[in-house]
Amino acid sequence: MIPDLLFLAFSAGILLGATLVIAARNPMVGVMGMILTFLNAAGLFILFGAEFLGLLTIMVYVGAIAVMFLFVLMTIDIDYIKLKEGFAPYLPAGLLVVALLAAELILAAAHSPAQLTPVVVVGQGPQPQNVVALGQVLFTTYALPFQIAGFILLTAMVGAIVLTHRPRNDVKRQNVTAQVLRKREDAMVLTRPKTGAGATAKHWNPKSVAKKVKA
Amino acid sequence: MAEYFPILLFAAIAVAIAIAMSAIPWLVNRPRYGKAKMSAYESGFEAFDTARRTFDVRFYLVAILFIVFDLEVAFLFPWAMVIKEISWFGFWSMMAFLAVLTIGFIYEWKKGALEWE
Amino acid sequence: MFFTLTLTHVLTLSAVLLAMGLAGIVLNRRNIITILMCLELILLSVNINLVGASHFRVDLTGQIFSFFILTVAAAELAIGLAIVTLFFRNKGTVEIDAAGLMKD
Repeated sequence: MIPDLLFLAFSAGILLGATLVIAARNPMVGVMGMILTFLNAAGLFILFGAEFLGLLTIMVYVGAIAVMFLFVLMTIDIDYIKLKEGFAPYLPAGLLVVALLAAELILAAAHSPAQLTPVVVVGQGPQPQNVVALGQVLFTTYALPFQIAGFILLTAMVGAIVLTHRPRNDVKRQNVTAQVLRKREDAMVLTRPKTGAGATAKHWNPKSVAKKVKA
Repeated sequence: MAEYFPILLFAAIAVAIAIAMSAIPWLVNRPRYGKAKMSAYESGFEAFDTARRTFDVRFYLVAILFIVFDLEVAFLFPWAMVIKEISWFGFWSMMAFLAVLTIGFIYEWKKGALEWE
Repeated sequence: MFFTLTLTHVLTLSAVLLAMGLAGIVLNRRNIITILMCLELILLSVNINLVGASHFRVDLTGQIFSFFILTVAAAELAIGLAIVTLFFRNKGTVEIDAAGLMKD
């Protein structure tokens, strides 16, 4: 009975957060609603036994994606009062289509053979943890999608740098490798300039004078 | 799954305390707002300009790099738990994944995206 | 209690969340940040669908697929928000109607 009530509570939280995202005038309130949705969805995942995925939802979605949304909202200056004006003529048609889609999906869900009560698995011996079970399949059976996910992350990294990196040319930096590989001959030259002439006198030729001094 | 019930209880109590701390002052003594009380404090005169500054896009690049490497670490967690069972094939599968992401890392290092200034 | 949790309830929740995400996109045509947030809601509804099916079928495939969807959603959002930032830097506004350079 408790899992059923918890499911209702988490569903209510998810739908409340989604309503905030849709209906908020200020995008900041929308992001707060999205965070509420994600937290309740993470609770729902843990309720369904997918604890790794639930905690990963909190870590990645709330911890990184919602933070990125907030960064972008802070970067761009939205005049939120002006944004909600304008009533499109095709708005009721769009909402009608969305409602029809929802009705179709709910009907399909209700009439599918998935109406069985939950299957209770009585495993032999101790069941592996969710993380362990995921790991056993993820790197062996699903190794190819795993590699493709790696390429997607590479694309995201390269794309992000290409789009947002602005190199600064007016900042002096150290090149530590060049500093460490410096040799004595490059750094210092021993000369003997003429008295009173100074080091920048026209006759001063460092290499020839150095040879004379050594010899 | 029943081991997570204390965490849910903890979260519920934390939310309840936060709501109580916000609601009780509002219930006990209704705040009375006035035009003078709600204006920004500028040592006596009106504010000239908004206090906001343009947010730097360097923070955003840091957030993106954090997301990508966070997902890489998220793939590393189950791998570390089962490395003994999936022995060599699983090991090389993860090494290929890490090699792909290391290429991206070298690219961003050479481009100077890791320098702050 | 008369309410027993079955897969139908989870699929209904997923369908309602999908519909709300789509309705958000239709209603908030002007603000691109809200559109991206509603896109995240749609992806979350798919995740709930998959994890619910994985729980009721006692099969791990749903969770694996959901893991990959999470990865792709994070990567896509990173690039999408970078594009939005550049769009704002060039246009000065986040209204979608300002992106009309390819019109007629």
